[in-house]
Formats: sequence, C-alpha cells, structure tokens
Amino acid sequence: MIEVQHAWDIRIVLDLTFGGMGVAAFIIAFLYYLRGEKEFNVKAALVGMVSLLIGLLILVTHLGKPEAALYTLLTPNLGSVMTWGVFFNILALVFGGLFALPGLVKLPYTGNEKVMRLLGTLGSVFSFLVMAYTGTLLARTSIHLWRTPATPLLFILVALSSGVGLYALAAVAFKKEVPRELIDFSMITTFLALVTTTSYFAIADISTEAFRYSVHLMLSELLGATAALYLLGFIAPLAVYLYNRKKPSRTNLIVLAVLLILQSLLARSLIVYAGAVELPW
Amino acid sequence: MLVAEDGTPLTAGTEEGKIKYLVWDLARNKAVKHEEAVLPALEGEFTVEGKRAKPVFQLLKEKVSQYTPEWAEKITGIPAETIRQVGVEFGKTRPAAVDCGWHDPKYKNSTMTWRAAAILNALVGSLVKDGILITGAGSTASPPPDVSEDSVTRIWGAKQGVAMASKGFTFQGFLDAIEKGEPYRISTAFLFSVNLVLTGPDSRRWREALKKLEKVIAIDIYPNDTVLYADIILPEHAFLERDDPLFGIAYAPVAGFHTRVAAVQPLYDTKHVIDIFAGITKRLGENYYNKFWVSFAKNLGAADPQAMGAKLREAYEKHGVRGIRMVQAQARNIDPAKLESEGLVVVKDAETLRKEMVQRTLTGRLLTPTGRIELFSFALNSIKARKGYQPYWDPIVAWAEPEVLGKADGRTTFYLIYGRVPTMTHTSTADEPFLSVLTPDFKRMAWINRAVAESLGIKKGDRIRLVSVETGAAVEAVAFPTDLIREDTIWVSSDFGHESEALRYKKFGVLYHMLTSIKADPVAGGIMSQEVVVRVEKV
Amino acid sequence: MARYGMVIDLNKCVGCGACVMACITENRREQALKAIEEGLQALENFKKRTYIVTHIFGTYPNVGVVYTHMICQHCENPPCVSVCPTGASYKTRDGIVLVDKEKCIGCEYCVQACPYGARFWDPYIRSIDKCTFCAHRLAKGEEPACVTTCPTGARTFGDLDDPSSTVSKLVASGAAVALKKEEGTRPKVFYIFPMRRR
Repeated sequence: MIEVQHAWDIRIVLDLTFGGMGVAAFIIAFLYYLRGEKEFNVKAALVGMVSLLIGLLILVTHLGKPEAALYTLLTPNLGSVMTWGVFFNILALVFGGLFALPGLVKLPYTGNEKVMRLLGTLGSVFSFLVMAYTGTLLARTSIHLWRTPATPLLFILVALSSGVGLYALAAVAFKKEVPRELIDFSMITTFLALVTTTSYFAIADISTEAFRYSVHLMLSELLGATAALYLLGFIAPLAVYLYNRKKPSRTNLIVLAVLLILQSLLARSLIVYAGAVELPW
Repeated sequence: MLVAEDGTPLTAGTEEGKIKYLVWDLARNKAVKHEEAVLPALEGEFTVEGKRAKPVFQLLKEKVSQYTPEWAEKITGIPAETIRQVGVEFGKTRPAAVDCGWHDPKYKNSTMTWRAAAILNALVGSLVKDGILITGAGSTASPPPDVSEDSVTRIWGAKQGVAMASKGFTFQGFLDAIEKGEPYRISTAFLFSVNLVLTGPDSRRWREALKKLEKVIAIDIYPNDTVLYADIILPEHAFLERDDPLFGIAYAPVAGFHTRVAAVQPLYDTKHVIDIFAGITKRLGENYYNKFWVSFAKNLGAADPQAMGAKLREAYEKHGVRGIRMVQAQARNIDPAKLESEGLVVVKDAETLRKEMVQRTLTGRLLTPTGRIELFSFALNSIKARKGYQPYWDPIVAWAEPEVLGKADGRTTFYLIYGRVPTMTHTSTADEPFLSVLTPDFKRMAWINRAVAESLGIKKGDRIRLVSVETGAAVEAVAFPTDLIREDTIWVSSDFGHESEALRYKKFGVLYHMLTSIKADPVAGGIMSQEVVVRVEKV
Repeated sequence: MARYGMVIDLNKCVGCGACVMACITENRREQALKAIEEGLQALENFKKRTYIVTHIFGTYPNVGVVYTHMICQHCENPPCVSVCPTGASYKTRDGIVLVDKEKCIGCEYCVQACPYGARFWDPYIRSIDKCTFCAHRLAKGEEPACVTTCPTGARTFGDLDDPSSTVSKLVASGAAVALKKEEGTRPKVFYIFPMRRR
C-alpha cells in the first residue's frame, strides 16, 4: 500500500525555504562585499542571516521535543545528514552572524578587514553547506520521489534563485542598484530548476511504484501547486525578466524578486507534500 | 434396525426397561434383537410376522436417490461434477467429517441440514471417534424439561404448530402477549443481560412493545439500546468485579467447575445479580425470601432443596455470593482456597472424558433408545406420530425448502445472511473502545457482490437502504462491493447497529433485526433468522 | 548474545487482531487509557506498533483473503538508526532496534527513513515509538506479547543465530522471506506467504 508522508509539513518547507534563501543571500552579499561595496552588503548579509534564523525558529515549532535538541550536540550521530545540518546551520549562523552583525551595531572588529573576510568566508562555506544539506536530507529517506540526485540539486538551485530574490529586495529597500549580472544569474538558476523539476516527470513512468504515485499526485491532487510552480515559479520570472529588459523599473524588480522566492517555496512544498512511501503491507 | 411400512421401528418388546429393536440377520435369515445379530442386513426388504419392513439404511438409500448432484446443482449453483467429486473424496478419505452446525435454525430446514451432516459423519464412522468428532462429551445430551402449561411461549408455540412447543423456546411469542394480550396480558418485563431491541426479530415491534409495558426493569452492565427502554435500571457488576457461584465447565471438553473471583473492587454502585434478586425478594417478605433460596437450591440440583436453601441463605448472609460458592464447593469436596486461586477445578480431563465417551459409544451406552448411534431419529418420529408427516421432521432425512428459496432474483432482491466478527461479542464488548476501532470498517458494512454493485451503480462507501421484502422495514447501511459474496446474496455483521447515545465508542453498523420478522421453525420454534429477502436502494 | 527475529506465517493468520491488542495492553497501556479518556477520535488516531491489513483478491467464486502484518523489522542495517541526529535510535547487541525517549527530539527523520512505516510519533510520551520485540519480556525469558497471544500460532520468535530455533529453520528452508530487500535494510522479520491451491 502506498502511504503519502505526513510527518513533514509546511513548517519543514518554511524552514528549508527561509534557510536556503537566507544562506544564498548571504553568499551573494559576501561576494559583492569582496567586490568593494561593503556597507550595504553587510546589511544584506544580515538580512540573509535573519531569514536563516526565522527558518530555524519555525523548525523548532515542528520538533516534538525541542528541548532534547541539545543531544544533537552532546551525543551527535555523525552518520546522519541531519546532524551535519545542525552543525552547518549553527556554524553558518555564528560566522555569518558575526560577519553581518556590524550592519546593526558597531562591533570592535568591524573595521578589521582580515577578520571580516575570515568570518565572511567561513560564513559562506557553511552557508553553502546548508544549501546543499536541505535536499540531501530528503534524499536519504525511503521516499522514492526524494531519493534522487535531482532533489539536492533542485534545492540548491531554488535556494540560489530565492537568495537572489531576497538580495534584490534588500537592495531595493536600501535604495541600491541590483546588479544586472545577478538577475541574469537568477534566470540561469530558474531555468536549471525548471529542467530539474521536469526531470522528475520525465523518468516517472519507468520508476518505482512509490515514485510514480508521487508524480501522479503532483498531476492530480497537487496539480494546482504544480501549475503554480511552473507558471509563477519558472515562467513568470522569465517573462518579468524579459519585460524588465525592455522597460526596466523598480516595480519589475520587486515582482521578479517575489516570484523567485515563491519559486523556492513552491518547489519545496510540492516535493515535500508529494512524498510517498510504498509499504509492503 | 427394521422399520415397517407405517414408519415405526419393529421391536421384540421390552426387557429390563429397555425396548429391544429388531434387525434382519442375514446369517439366520430372520429378524433378531440387534445385539444377537451375526450379519445384520443394511439393504433389502423383508417380511416379519406378516409385516413388510426395510432396514433404515435401505430407507436412507431410497430417500436420497432423488437428491442427485444434478438436482443439487440447480439449487446451490455448485456444478454437479464438483458435488460428485467431493462426495467420492469424502467417502474414500479417512478420517473425514462435516461440522454438524450450531446457532440455528437460520432456515426452516436447518434441522434437516444438520441431520444430513450428522448422517454423513455416521456413515463414514466419524461420530464419537477420538481425533475426529466427539459430540455430547461432558453433557447430559438430554433435552430440557417442559415448561409450565401457562407459559406464554409454550402457548404461542403450540398455536404456531411448533412440534416442541412444550419446551418453551419461542420467546418471540411474548410480542403477541404484549401487543394483543394473547394468550394473556403482560404488564412487566424483567430483563437480565439481554439486548432485546437488537436481538429480537422484527426490532421495530419490540421497541414499541417495551414502550407499551407498564414497567420494564433491566439488569445490565452497559447502557445498551434495550436498557434505554427500562423504567428501572439495576446496574450489575462487570466480570472483573464479581465473585460468582460455582458453574459447571461448559464450553470445553472437560468435566469440572469454574467460578469468577473479583479482581477489582466494583468501580461504581453496582450489585451482583444474586444480590439483586436476594435483595428484592427480601423486601417482599420472609415468605418470598425463603422461597427464593429454596428455588435457588432446587435449580442448583440439590437433593433436599429446603435444607440446602437454608444453608445457602446462611452462607450468603455471612459472606455474600462467595459464601454460596463455598457451600457449593464443600458439597463437591472441592478445596475452596484452591478454587479461588486457580479459578477452576478439572474433575475429569479432556482425555479421560473423550475415552469415556468413545467407550460408551462402543459398548452401546449412548442416550439413544438403542444405546447406539442411529440414523433413524426417534425424536422426530414421535413428532411425526403426533402431528403427521412434514419433511421438516422426517425421521430419516428429507429435503425441505427454506421459505426464501427462489424469492431473490440477484438483480434487485437478495438473500440476506449474517455473520460475526472476532472483535465483538454480546453486550460486554459493545462499548469496548479498542475493539471498536480495531474492527476494520468493511466488516461493519453490507457486502454486495462487486459485479452486482456495479450494475446498480453502487460504489464502496455509498449509503444504501436494505428493505425487507416481507415487512417493508428498512435499515441503512454502508455498501462494500466485494467478490467475497455471491451475486444473489448480501452479507452483514449482526454484531453492530447499536444506537444508544450512552455508548461512547460505538461506530456504524447494520441493525440486522430490523429486517427480520416473527417466525418459528416447525421443529423447535427458533426464529429462523436468515429467512429474509431484501431489496437494495441507493440513499 | 542472540540475533532476534520473527517469522509470521500468513497461512495461519485469521485476521483477528489479537496481536494488535496484546501489544497495546502490554506496551502502551497508559497511552491507551489516555486515548480512551479523550474519546473515539483519539482512538481512531491511535498509532500502533503493529497492525494487520486485509487483502481480498480474485473474482467470485475464486476469492481469497490474506492478512499482512506491519511490524518493525528490527533490521540489521536500520536506516532509522543511521538518520537519527541524536542517536536516540539505536540497535542493541541482540539485534533489537530501540528508541531512547530522553534523546528523541521528534524530528521524525526516522519516520521518513523507514521503508516499513514502523515508526510513529507518540504525543503521549513525547517520543518516537515502535515495536521493541517486548525486550522487557525477553529479559524475563518470555516471548513478545503478540507471539504469545496469537491463537493460531502465526507468529513465531527466536534467535536467528541458533540453528535449532524454529525461526532459523523456517528462514533456512526458504519458506519465510524478507520484504523490501532492495532497500538494503536486511530485516529480521520474515513472512511465509499463503499457498495457492489449484
């Protein structure tokens, strides 16, 4: 019998969305920080870290017994992707946070370029690991839809797309230019995410029963979400991007940014809610 | 055994109080007492003192010759070839046995059906054989005594033409008494652990009847549907809360006694049923109270009910129901302490009992008039002598039609049958929370053949209405289209259909007896619970 | 040191569900009483360490019924153990997979990792819960409650490392098979599937 998973719900989706978006925005912010624009990008990095923190707080509400989470640090199981995820999240938050806090308060090392670069690098490394772990976590389960290299890949891609979106919103808020190449980059990630998503459908009919069932769900009960993902998450950003090239405006950028964030939310939601396991009973 | 043309067995008179039945001895070419026969004839026709007679086996052969596999195929739908094949297999295989049935009669011919099964067993030597079938082990195997001539059930049964009306099995007769005052009016019903509105046939009528009575008193452990009609409810101890008297071990092939010892103190303000009756009769006065104890002693089989009654009363007044048990244990030389710690005492174990039973069979000491296993039924023959011939009490065997045969077309009308589920039994599990949710939903639904359901546009989970073709009464059910049931039949579990809102954990089901009607089987007066044809309607 | 396993003979199972109830009364009595207090809905939602599923197959009159049994397979390569972040999920030296209530954070990663659907979040004890092969009974030399209760003897239990045990013999004979082998879990509960007659 096929059982649709219901252990992980919207709170997991939101954790992964905010998390992926936040750490991707951080990496983008740090890269542009290195290019020279320091003051704004520290603030943008902070926005990223706040997003990561929000995600983690939402996650805590999903845990059945959050107070026991201390054991992840006391008796960690190093064979578990989740354990590594906890480390990466904490370390990203610590180093990224330390890097970004100067955007809010003056700290002793704020002027120290070397320290800032170190913190930023470490923050970025762990941020990338957070991006990668979100999909890998899902891949190491008995849910066949998730158990494919496409899942970590897809989750990295939509994290990057949404990271661009968050960064762009921060830029607009602080009345800064959104770099053209960043927007172009988000079109690459969007396109690749579209291809990766479509690959699930492309191999469904020769996959296992549980996989086929998940895809069937995505095309029936969850058809609305699938349609929303393709229309709002992939096609609309491309359309807005092309339109913005003809008639650039702040509004277009905001719309595009929101759509890119939506792409991440919708993709993760769809994959999580369509997950199913085939039980041998 | 030789039987004359008029259907009576031939005898050589009585010796030492036992009638001596005759068989034809082929060795000496004459009729002799069966214990003297060298080569008793199974087949043939013989003349004894001018009377023509045949052995029972010959009569059986002649009787069943008309019941060919082809004939049976028309009724059952099972291919004649299969019937023949099974017959040959059954005849050639040793050991072989057919379950002789219980919980009947469901049909007008149930008595005959189980007779046929028992005859098959007798023919292949399976009856009362260790390792095959042992019947009557540990029991007296004699019928219960007649009830009083004033008994409502007996009078009603006789009116219906029930052969064994004097046994008073026909509880359904109470309806006429309550509704119409026939044979006389009833004002009060005292119900002990009986869920009449669920288990009485033609449920609607029982509900009205209970409302019509002046007083209804109910003793029970749950607020089940029937209890809700009571004017006075006397809640009783549940099985874990009670000390019981001594009972004979019934549903196991051993001879012995068992009892219940309270495992917990009663949780609520309840009493043991003996406390209730003792308490009521005491309030009625010394005369009634005394009568109660004497009657109790008599029912326990005491040789001197007066003396034993006094003893029981004294013991009860000192130690309650436990005291009664002690008296009973003493009378049988059973150590009360051992009884209370183990709960049961086996006097004769299964092996001993089986051996005894087999021995009795082999030495001709069974309770039949001949002491042997007889295909010929003396009981049914005496009914025939009283009431004339009916296939329902043919002393050998006869096919008799159920009332519903041929009345279902398998397209819009269906035979209704019922069964049980492992998670439910009687009132005591009606409100058991886990048994309720552990019962899979499909076992609460009405099973209808998948192909038939499709043709009627009925899907799994659809609400349907089952309407009794005979009475027009209807009940709602949830449909379960399945291949587990024949095209012309619908199955429901009779275990559900409770409506009492006081039951916290009940779920849906089908109230079976809404669809039955008041009937009495011609032999014993049973309610013939499956003589029902229903129409199916979508809700 | 044993290697505990179970064999479930689906030919013998009559679908009575006594094993399900025996497990509840043996292992989850407090939770059960709480659910009873809460009423029918809580009971309907009451998760189980073991349960049976009814399968009806065929077309009338050639129909059959089979009951399959869900129970933790106490895998030798348990994915639930490898994914648990705190090590709350662990395997004993006797091959029993258990959950340390203290350490369980309720992330339900193990629920997603188990291909047999054997694990569930028990809100009453605030931990993941599942079959324990009645380890507390094994310690006293008794068999799991479900095994003892089964009226037809459909469930047998024993040491797979003891060649004379019933379970060993059944597995060695090939009559009892493992499920979802392709997941690489190496389960220790084996099933004897019903014979097809004719």
